Amino acid sequence: MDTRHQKVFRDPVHGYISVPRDLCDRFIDTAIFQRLRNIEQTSMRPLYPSAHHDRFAHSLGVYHLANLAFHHLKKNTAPELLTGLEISDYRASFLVAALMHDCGHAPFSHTFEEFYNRGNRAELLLRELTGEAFSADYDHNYETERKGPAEHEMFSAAVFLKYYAGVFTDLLKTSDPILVARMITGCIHQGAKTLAEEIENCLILLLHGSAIDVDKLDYILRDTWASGVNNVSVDVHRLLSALELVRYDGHLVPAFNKSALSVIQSVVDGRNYLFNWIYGHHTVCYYNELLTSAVRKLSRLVSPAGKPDRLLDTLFSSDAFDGPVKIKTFSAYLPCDGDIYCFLKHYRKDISEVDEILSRQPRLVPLWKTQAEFEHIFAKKKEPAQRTHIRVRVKEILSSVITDTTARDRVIALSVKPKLASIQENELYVTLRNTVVPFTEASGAPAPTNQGNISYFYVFIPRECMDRAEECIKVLQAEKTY
Amino acid sequence: MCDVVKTDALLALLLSNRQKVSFRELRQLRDRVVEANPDVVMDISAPSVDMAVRYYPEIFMFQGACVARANHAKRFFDSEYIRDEFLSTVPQEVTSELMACFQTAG
Repeated sequence: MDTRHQKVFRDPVHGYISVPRDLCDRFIDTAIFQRLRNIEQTSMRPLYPSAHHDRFAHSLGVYHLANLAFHHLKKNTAPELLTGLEISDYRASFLVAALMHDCGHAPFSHTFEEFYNRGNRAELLLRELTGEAFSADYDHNYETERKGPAEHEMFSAAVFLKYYAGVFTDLLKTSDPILVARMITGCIHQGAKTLAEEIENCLILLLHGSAIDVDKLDYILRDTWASGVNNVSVDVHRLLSALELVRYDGHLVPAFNKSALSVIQSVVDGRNYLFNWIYGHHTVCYYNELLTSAVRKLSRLVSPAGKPDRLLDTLFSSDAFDGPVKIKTFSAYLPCDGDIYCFLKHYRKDISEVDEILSRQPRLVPLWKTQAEFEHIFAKKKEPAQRTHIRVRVKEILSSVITDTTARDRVIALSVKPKLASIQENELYVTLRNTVVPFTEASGAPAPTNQGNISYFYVFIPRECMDRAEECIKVLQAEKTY
Repeated sequence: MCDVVKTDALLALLLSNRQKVSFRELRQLRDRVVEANPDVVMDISAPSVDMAVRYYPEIFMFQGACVARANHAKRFFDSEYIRDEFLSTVPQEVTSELMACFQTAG
């Protein structure tokens, strides 16, 4: 690959991002990848008006961080650990994997996550395109180690292999596109038998790790920037400049030297801040629910009789990457968020949620707005069963306050399950005084414990009933749960 | 319209009449269900199973390569909680169909 000619992108998070012209021509400047410009990164835009960053910019950001990580990894790793192998030979595969890791993302990203692998199709396609060695490791990782990709990652790896394996091999003659699929899906070599496989495993973990990887680093920085919130600062340069490969317990593993200790904690805190205060915000949850409901109704309306999921099936399969797929009077080709909005506008009169989505005038309002209020309100109902009892019977319980049945039928309860992170033992390593130790040991913090049930729920009532909000809360509080 | 069975609901249903289920069995059961009824959509990916166990530590726990009932989970399985928390949004016929598939699998 010729790296002399670079294309430079100006990115608000990382500054200038240089990409070799060869990668631009073969991967970035293609319709499937450019499609990512029109797929929003998160569902937090109803909350933060400027948060309309997309999967395209995120992919470039992950590429940039992967480049930085690789540079420091190569510089910091003791040469005697890599005897007989040239680590630079893996650079291109690692960078392509970082760039393409989200190439299969469907409209609205994770809202319909289950559809990526409906009927097992993404997994079957991936197996068909990868072969026996990959499948054996994939099965072993899942069945023995409880590790494996999320369904959109499985789909992205399959899309990469189906549409880009040819150009990849053409450009990088000695590299294997299946290694890229391994990096996207986190499919490590089980019982790595060679140094080459060990190095590959380390790079797989740097893109698809459970504690810290370049994908997580970019979305923490980018979602924080796009929303404008005052999240903790993550000094990504300090972190990545401390990266090296080391031997721990006989295995080659990626590790950070001690200068990165404080940043590692910032990464965990920054990620948890986003989950606690943004992704679980009542406005984000409400509009996500509206969108889910509207798209499911749309799918019923535009799909042929007897196949009510045809629209969703098309959007989450590679059929619409091959060419236009006709759905009633529309056709879907390289679908993105805007296409769905176009469909929704067309069926505005048939889908009650559409006007609400378009006008951003919610017809329902939350009885409480934070987890703290929820905990305060239900302080005497700590048992999960008590809380669930209230959530599933909320309409019935509120019948004494909201007596109008039409209004009461519109009441909804939405569960929130914050995806909080902690670093578990043997997930991350640091070097202290020439010794490699697990981060959990080095940080001095108590080992993460089982936090108990951390989910909660919001109750939304019709706006016109808002004057009875306090009464509603009181009857929910007073409900005898057992 | 297809029915989406969330990972936590699937695990709760499975563990309502057994103590544990291995990841291998999870995959076999998923394949069996998909074959019996392609309109049932479920996510048994490792991250989703991991999150389900983390969200409900009083119900589920990992036991090697299995998801098992947590130590004091019996009281939840013996009460209305499982139905309320996990199955209230799953149509009864889908629940029955899943149970039939699970029983066939032994």
